[in-house]
Amino acid sequence: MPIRIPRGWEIPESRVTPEHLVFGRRKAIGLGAAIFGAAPAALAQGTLAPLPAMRNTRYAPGRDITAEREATTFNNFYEFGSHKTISREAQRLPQRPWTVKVEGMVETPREFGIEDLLTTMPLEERVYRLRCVEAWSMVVPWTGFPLSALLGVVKPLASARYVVFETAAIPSVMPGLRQSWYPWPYIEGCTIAEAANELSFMVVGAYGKQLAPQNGGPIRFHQPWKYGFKAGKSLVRITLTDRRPVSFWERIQPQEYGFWANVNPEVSHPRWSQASERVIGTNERIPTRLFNGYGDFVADLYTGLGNERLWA
Amino acid sequence: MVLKTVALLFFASALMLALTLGAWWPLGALLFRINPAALNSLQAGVQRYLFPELWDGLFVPLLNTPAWVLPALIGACFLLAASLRPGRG
Repeated sequence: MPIRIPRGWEIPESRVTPEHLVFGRRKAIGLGAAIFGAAPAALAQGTLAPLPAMRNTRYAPGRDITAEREATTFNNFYEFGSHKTISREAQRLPQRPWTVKVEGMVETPREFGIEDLLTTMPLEERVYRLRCVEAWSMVVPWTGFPLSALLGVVKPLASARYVVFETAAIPSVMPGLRQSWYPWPYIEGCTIAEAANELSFMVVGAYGKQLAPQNGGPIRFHQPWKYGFKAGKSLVRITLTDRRPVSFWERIQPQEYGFWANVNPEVSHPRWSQASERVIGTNERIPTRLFNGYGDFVADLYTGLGNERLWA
Repeated sequence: MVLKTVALLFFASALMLALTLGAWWPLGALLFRINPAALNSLQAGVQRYLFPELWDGLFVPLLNTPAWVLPALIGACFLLAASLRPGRG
């Protein structure tokens, strides 16, 4: 008798969303597009406009989704401070107007308005695990689109080898920037191969709403197999280049934070173990998984890179 | 005499910092250049385990003052202490 082992992304037929609900959601997406015009007013009032999108079940997290309140009040965003309670301060970050330049080694450099991205990119919801280098984790339903879709518009040149993400630096609303000795703006990067991986996700929403500023709104990046600090927040520029970028944290503490920063429970941080993680919301301690459990999708990216410091 | 000598050393340090780094080079930038990890750890410690406001309200302004100000202030304190000390004669 043949034994069938289900793949990580497969789910039982009984859990597939019924067709009428799917098309109902599409109507809702259309409604969402219609109300984008109301978004600035909603943001000014401290509320976030709805951003419904159909969930992609290929990336089932295998864990409960973190409560929205937890994910929006326990945040790392260094421009607002090195502590976790920056959510109130971050509300001062204006979310509109907002543009993202995509430039460098591309055929057609472009500056995208956030509304353009929301209406033209193929939005979907993905529930990803997020593993912070500080040994805590969350599960967040992000709304966004694959980075590859954005790169498809600007068409990277064959010579481009890296993608660099730059966070906004607005001293009038970001108190962290008063620490003039840090190498602002916050820079992060990945290889072009990592950028092209299907998991690499440009995030514009969470929990069915537009992305809160404390979570990196209005647009951030996320690669769920890497530690969270690799994900640039509130992005204003994406540059394709042939030179490997030196990221913000690499400049500050190169012995602790490197370019690759792939999750690996067997490689400790210099000051703590990475073997397990504290789940935000429950405080349960669970074992950390190699590549944060996404090895089936990304392990191939790192064959032949044994000389690189892949895990920090 | 000892206090005045120490004060003089601090004043000399202040002058040297101002001449080598420039009059407006912040103390934080100097400490960051010497040991970036230590300053970062100090910030994390103050903001996470004491009060975030303490970092923003006290440490950041202090670290943003020109690097020569701190040794100059310490030198001034030693000079003041020397002047307040009763004479031995």
